[in-house]
Parts: sequence; C-alpha cells; structure tokens
Amino acid sequence: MKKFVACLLMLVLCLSVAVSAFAETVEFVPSISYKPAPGVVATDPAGHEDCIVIVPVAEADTSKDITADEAATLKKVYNELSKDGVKLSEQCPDLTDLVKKVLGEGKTADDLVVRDLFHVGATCEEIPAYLADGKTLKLTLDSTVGKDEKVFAMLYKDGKWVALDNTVNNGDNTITVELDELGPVAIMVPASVGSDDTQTGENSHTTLWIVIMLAALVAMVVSVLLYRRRADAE
Amino acid sequence: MRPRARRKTWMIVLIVFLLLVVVYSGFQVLEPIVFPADRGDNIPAESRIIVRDGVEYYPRQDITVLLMMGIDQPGPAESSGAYNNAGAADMLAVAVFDETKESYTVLTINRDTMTEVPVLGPGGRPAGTAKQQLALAHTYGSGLTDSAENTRNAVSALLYNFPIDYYISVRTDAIAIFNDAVGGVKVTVTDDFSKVDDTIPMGEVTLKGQQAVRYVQSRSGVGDQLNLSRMKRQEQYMQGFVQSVRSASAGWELKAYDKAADYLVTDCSQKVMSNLLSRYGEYTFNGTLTFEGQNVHGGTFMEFYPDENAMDAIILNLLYAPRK
Repeated sequence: MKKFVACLLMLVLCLSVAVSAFAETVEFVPSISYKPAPGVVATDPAGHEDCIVIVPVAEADTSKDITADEAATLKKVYNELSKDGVKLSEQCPDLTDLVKKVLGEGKTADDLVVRDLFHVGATCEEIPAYLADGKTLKLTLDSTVGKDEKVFAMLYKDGKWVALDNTVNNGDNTITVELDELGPVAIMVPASVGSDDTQTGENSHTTLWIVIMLAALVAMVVSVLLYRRRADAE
Repeated sequence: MRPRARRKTWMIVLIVFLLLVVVYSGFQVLEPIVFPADRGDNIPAESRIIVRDGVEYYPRQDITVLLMMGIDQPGPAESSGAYNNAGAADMLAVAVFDETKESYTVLTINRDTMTEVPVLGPGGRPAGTAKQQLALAHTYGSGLTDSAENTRNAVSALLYNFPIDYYISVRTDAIAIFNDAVGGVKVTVTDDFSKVDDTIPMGEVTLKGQQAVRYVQSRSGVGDQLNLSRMKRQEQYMQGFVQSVRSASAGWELKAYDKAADYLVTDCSQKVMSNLLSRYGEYTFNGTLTFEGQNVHGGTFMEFYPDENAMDAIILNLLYAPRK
C-alpha cells in the first residue's frame, strides 16, 4: 500500500512538473496586426513568389521596391480613385462589359467599389523579360474577400485603366489576377446595399433649413413692402 | 382681369408659397427637438425587437454607450496619407451608463474576436466586409476619425447594430498621460513582468508613466501570453483607474485632455467629455463583463470565437429591456 501511494504521489509530482514545464514553453501565438498589402501566394510561371513585390499606397514614398516614377503614378491614380464622385465607368470604360457579363445586364462599372490598390513590381529581371515577350503572369494573392464574392481587377498602363478579364476569387481567401504588365492594380467588389452609410444621428441639414427659412421670411417681407409701396404710388 | 387685380392675385400666391416654405423649413429645424429620435430608429428593423423564449426585448432608451479603443501606436494621432494604417485597436471596451440605476458597466471585447469587419477602400468608401479580427477595423482608413468610426461601426454590428453614442480612441502614449493625471493607478500584479519591465514587481504597485502602458499593452513574455489574460489586466487597470479618479485633484480631466489631445481621436469635445464625467462621475461601477468563448490558433494568428449564447445574454442584459 505504501509503495502504491509513493508511486502515485511521484506520478502526481511528475505530472505537475510537466504541466509547469509545458506552461513555461507554451507557444506564443501572435495577434494579427496591420497588413498593408496582400501577400503573394503563388505565381504562374511558378517559383517567382519572392521576386514579385506588392507596394501599398501607404508605402509609396518609403518602399525601396518602387521607383520614384512608379510611386508618383501610384499616388496619382490613388488620388483620382479617392475623389468624391469618381466614376469607375469613366476611369475604365471596358470594365462595364466585364461587369455585365458577371453581374448581369443591368449592372455597370459604377456598381463596383475599389477595395484595394497597390503597385505590382518585380525585383528580378526574369519577370519583366517574360512579360516583354508578350506572355502573361498569373498572380495569386491572399485576400479578405468572402469566398463567394465576385471580384474584379484593373491594371493601370499607358496612362489608363484596363480591365483584367481573368480575375478569379478562388474561394479560399486568395484571388488570382492575370497581368501582361507590371504597375498599379486595383481590386474591386460589388458595392453592397446601404454602402452609402450615413452617420448615426448625424444626418442633419439644420443650418441649411434655417437659411432657407430666413430667406423665405425676408422674401415675404420684401414682397409685401414692395407691393404696398407700388399700391400707394398708384 | 385688371392688371391691379392680377398683381394682387400673384402676390397672394407668392406669399402663400413663401409661407409654406417657412413652415416646412421650420418643421425640419424643430422636428428633432420636438420629436427626438428613438434610439430604435437607428437600428435596422431586424434588431429593433429581439425575441427570446417568447419575450420581446427593445433597445433601452435610458443608457449612454461609450466605446473606448486603445490603439497600439506611439506618438500623436496622424493621418497615414492612405486608405489604411498601421494602428490596430488592441483594446476595446464599451462603457454602458445606466441613467435609471445611476451605475455603469464596462464590457471588454477581445481584440481577436472574429467578426465581419467593415472594409474601407480609397476615398474612405465602404468596400464590403472581411471576416477577421475585430482589432483590424481600425486599420481601415487613415488612422483618424474614419478609422475610429469604422471601428465603432464594427463594434456596433457585433452588438446587434446597437448605436454607440460616443467613442474615444487613445494611442499608447496617452495612457501614460491619463495615468499620471490621476496620480498613478494601483494594481495587484500577479504575472511576472521582469522580461518586459523589471520596474514592475509582483504584488501591489502604483503604476506610473510607461509602466501603465506596458501593463495594459504587453502580452508576449508575460504569464501565459494569452490575450484573455491581458484583458484581465486591462480590466483590473480600469477598475484601479476609476478608484484613482475619485481621489484625483479637481479639474484633472481638463488638464489631461489638453495634454493628451494630440494622442486622442474622439467625437467628444472637451466640453462634452467634462459633461459626461460630471454626469456619470458619481455613478456606481458595476464591474466589467466579457464574452466567454474560445481562443483558436488560426494557422498564423490568434482568433477568438465568442460563445453565442453567452454573448446574447450579455447584450440583452446590458443594452435591451424586456417588454413588460
């Protein structure tokens, strides 16, 4: 009996030490932090993931993977796409045909919203040479779009946006775009219903109504005065 | 008709038209005052009445809801110059002030809570949602008001679209300012901070300056390194802060607000902040709540999935009232 109890106690002691040891070597699982641009998951032709660089707008001025001209172009198109009232149908006219094919006849490019914008570049010479031969590069990027969400992309080249026909949402948190040139790429999704959010409780035009009310009052008084002056003159 | 009579007729028409304009515009100005919006008006129809076990719950009208966000970025709040930024909301807490019971409760929300986060694209335009950690809601937008409001929208959506009245986002350096403005915050340290800050011993400590920042911010190298444990430290810190406020010198909040202004993004002016403090400063603190759930290693990063039943019970208890 004593031996049994001693063994049991030793077992408990070993287990408690093991638990403590385990606790001390518990893996630190990081919490997610900001990811400025999508990562490259795969390329076709294969094996060039490390060569492709994605430069977000926020890093246009600081990234070493982008030339000054490329940075200027990225910022220029960012500013244009950020303007109030910008119409994607005007920015990229051939996008509407693609939208109609995917979303239906009643839809246009203005039914999309730009979700992401970044520069696609390369640090190796093989990719630019490959593209210069008239071939296309398929890039698979990680993405936060929903697995069933329709995704569109356009590439900025020769001073204008061109719709990218073979953009695919792979349904596994990646999308694939097919490029024939490197440069700024915009990713778009259908604008959701109610995306023109108004601030809760802040949608007031009180000042405007006060101005209208006062203007109408003044106009009324002036009209009456003028009418009476004319009547008296007669 | 004689010209004079015709002129008179047109004058009457004009006066009547202008009178209608005056009345209509007067109504637009006075309507929000005479008929203030019901809180439920700002909630989507499907969340205005919630039915559970045959009981109907309605949004409470006698509460004020304040969202507090801690942004893991040092330095003053500045625009990133782009449509996203590096500041994740590492700490999220909703203070619910109950005007009937004159008390308040703080609901802390795990920053790794997996939820549909609203995405902002170039121009700050809503661009769908992404199923990801709630903390990332603040990384959309420039890092200023747009990001704070995107986070407010994300938290509101998590709480059944309940409107949040005010928000305040605080960058890490502001924590030290507020901490020292109330004379320091007393906590009981139960985790070993020696790898992070060896000036924070175990046991009862009055935190000063950067000690406060490290106490609420650190996770790696402290205790079990889980966010849930960090949240417990943040809750303890908040309770200690409340205690310190009671003994702080008069006007501390105005001085602190002035000093920390560059590190805050809020929809509360100094006056509103002062009014909130004077209105709710004497309220009884009911303690903190948090959603129970499961931490999951999501492949690369931590993910937290709240238990739906537990979350539902807390939301209904805090924000809704049963129809009697």
